[in-house]
Amino acid sequence: MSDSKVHLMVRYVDDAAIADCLDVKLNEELSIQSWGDEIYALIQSCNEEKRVVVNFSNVKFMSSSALRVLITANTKAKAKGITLFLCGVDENILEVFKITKLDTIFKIRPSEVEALHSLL
Amino acid sequence: MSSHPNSVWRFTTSFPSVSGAGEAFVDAVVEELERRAWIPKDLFAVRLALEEAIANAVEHGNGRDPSKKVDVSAEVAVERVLLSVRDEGEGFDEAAAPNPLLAENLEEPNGRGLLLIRSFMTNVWRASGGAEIVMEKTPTPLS
Repeated sequence: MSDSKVHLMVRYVDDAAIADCLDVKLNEELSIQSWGDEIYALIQSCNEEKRVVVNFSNVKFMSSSALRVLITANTKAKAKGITLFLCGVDENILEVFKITKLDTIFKIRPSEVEALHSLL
Repeated sequence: MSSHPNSVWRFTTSFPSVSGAGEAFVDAVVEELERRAWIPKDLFAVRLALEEAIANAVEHGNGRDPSKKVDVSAEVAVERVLLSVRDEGEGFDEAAAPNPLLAENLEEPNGRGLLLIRSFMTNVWRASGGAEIVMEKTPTPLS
């Protein structure tokens, strides 16, 4: 089950698909599921793109359910030869990544520009 | 439901084990802390810990059975917040849970809720044979 809202706005720049998260809070189970489905579909649809950048600039709160989605998305991306980047992560949310050591798994960049110019 | 900032706000309620059922309680607790001038970093920490505890109670304690209740209580003051979340399960043995920080578990999708609760709260206890989690936080001292 999932909700009917749109959670991502996708743009394409060079070899990258950039997904802007539209939610301020990623904590409601159905929303997170829909948000995850949109990320998975984006990764699945990538043919030419070698990087997917998930931009968190709008997001101010995130629960561990959202981490679960990102871990799954990272696995799916790697399986397709795509590098997943996260950018614009709020400092409180960044602390969540550090506590869980997921900052060692994900390629987290301060800005979209840095994510687009990072080595794959 | 709101209270004077210098008073202690106490609230107890229960809700069925369905997604989103505890949201109003979490919002009320955070709102009371805001009224007592807690800083955004601490509000984030309390919201996260409380949401993770409720999610664990709904999902693992009560197995998402809507006939089973989650009991919650809060005591909010300027100098500390005390929260309790209890489910109808048989209790959770934290020692038996996999360590999410081990290299082999880092890419496991689940199992980080308790780590986050213990990291963001000042003190955490188990009660009711493991079916209840009690969490305390004191505000970050202003520098």
